[in-house]
Amino acid sequence: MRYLIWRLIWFAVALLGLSLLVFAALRILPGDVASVMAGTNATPARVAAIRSRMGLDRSYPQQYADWLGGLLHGNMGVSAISGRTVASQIGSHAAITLPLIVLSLLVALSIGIPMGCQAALAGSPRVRSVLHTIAIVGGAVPALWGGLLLIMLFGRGVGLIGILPSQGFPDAGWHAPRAALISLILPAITTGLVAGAGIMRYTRACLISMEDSDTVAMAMACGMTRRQAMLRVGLRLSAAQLVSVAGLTFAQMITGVMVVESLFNLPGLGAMLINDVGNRDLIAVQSELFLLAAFFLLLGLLVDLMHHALDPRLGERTQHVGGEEHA
Amino acid sequence: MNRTDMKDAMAQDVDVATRPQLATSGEILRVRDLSVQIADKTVLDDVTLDIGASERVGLIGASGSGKSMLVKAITGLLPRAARVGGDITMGGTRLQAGDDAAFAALRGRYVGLVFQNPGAALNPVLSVEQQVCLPLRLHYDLDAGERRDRVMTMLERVGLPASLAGSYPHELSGGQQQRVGIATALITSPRLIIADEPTTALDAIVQRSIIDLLVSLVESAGASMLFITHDFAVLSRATTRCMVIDRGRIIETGDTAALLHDPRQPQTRLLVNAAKTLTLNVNPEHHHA
Ligand SMILES: Nc1ncnc2c1ncn2[C@@H]1O[C@H](COP(=O)(O)OP(=O)(O)OP(=O)(O)O)[C@@H](O)[C@H]1O
Ligand SMILES: [Mg+2]
Repeated sequence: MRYLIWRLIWFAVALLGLSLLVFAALRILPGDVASVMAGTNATPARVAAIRSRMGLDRSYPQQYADWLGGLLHGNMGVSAISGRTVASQIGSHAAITLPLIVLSLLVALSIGIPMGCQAALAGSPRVRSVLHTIAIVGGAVPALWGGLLLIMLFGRGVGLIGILPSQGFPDAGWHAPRAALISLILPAITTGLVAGAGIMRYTRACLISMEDSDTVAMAMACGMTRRQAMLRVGLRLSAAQLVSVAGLTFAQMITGVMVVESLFNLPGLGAMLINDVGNRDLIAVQSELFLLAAFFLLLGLLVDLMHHALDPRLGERTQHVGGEEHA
Repeated sequence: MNRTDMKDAMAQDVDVATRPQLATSGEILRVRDLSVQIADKTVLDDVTLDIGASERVGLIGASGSGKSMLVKAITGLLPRAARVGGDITMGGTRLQAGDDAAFAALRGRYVGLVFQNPGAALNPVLSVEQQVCLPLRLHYDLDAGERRDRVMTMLERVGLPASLAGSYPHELSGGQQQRVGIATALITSPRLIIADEPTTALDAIVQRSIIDLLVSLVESAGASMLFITHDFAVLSRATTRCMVIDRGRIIETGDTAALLHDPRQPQTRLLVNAAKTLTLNVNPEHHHA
């Protein structure tokens, strides 16, 4: 409990630091949304008018306070370019990217972990080495290439067995859940296969490192077969590491899926960011960058909490003896 | 086996354990011409040995002579890459090398193992109670209450307070950890206990009490024991027969007292003399030939 409170406080502090960083960085970088909006031939007076309408003529501390206050209320302002609220803009794009990442991770885990176990435990050395090769080759395939291949195989209208849509997201979005989900299948498999190969390699490596451990030997001495001991004890003791790997994979996917989104023509967060940065849409970009980075911090938080849940050695009682561990 | 059969088997095991005088017939372990190669290196070479009911046998040998490998070969814990030849018969079952299921059926039920380093062997995510309970869970179909009773009784017998039942290994001292290891090995009243240098990871002061505990529990259960140790005082006190292993071969075997007194083989003599010097002069456990 004490750990949880400390970890949450630390998380809040990190968020605050992050917001400062994003705010400062965007004030230092060149580019002025007001002059972009006003157009190349605008008079300075017109630019100044736009600046003042957007609050950009106020002092930095004031701008920061306004922004932060808005964030806390879920109000991130209105995009200077599109005229939509930033929150709804992020929401509609995230509604594609986040489900895509979650699906991709599910694909990656449900392929990577069982195959990784097989690669470590299969009875025949031949099978083990074939699986290992698959993991290495699979992880080396560029997502773009794998995605193209999948489109050529399964893409509706273009593929050999054209059964799945490969371009775009339904206009109705998640109001048409079936169509929305189906349009994410090929992209999720593309990202998931590549990431799954990585998870497979980690799972295999974790299990192999447990093979000669005394803990697995003891489980066997209690009456488990080697396979049981590896799956019930070896895998369990690797769980914390695998959670870290899954967390990292998740984080990598946030940027990784952007390529895949553009290949499959999905209007996700990647398309939104590229668009807004290109337009120097300061108001939108600062909230978008902040939320994206905050999401990474949140992942870190979740991974840490899961570590604690998984390993009694990190529990409360050690903490009293061991003192501060989150200094 | 159905549920009642298992319960019967369990009851028998425990009954036999509490009536040591009945457990004196028959052969517990029989090993013939056991050879093990790992990566073309011969680690065991034509090992033949027998352990009878209620017999306690010592095994000594220099570091790297193959003591641990012998234990692993007997219990089916060798690395996968090992090539094994010869015969092992345990509890009336003739074991094929590689038949993991057959070995697993005996491990934790017919043969219990005590590890050298409990800190590394105990599962860090299991509480003391869960750990000690594991062999019961794997081999017998008992209800939770009965399991808990047996575990608590066992904890008491190894000298652990009931209050530690919910603790995790990292919260225990080395000596307490090895008591958990012993409790786990003995919880199913196995006929054979194998202990591979069970105290080398412990402080000198704790070593003696742990060894005494282990030997007295094995003795009162009427179980047989294969005991690997460098402590010759313990060896002569706890075992009646002793084998000497050198470079994977059993080179000498005989009455423990006689063997320690009057070793026949030059290798044994070296070993015994080194151990005696160390036992008399320095800390008894801190030698590795
Ligand atoms: N995984 C392995 N692969 C190959 N050879 C091994 C392996 N493990 C042990 N050996 C070899 O097997 C031989 C016997 O080792 P073992 O562990 O049985 O020695 P030991 O008698 O138990 O020694 P100690 O007293 O130090 O514990 C050694 O020569 C060792 O190098
Ligand atoms: Mg050894």
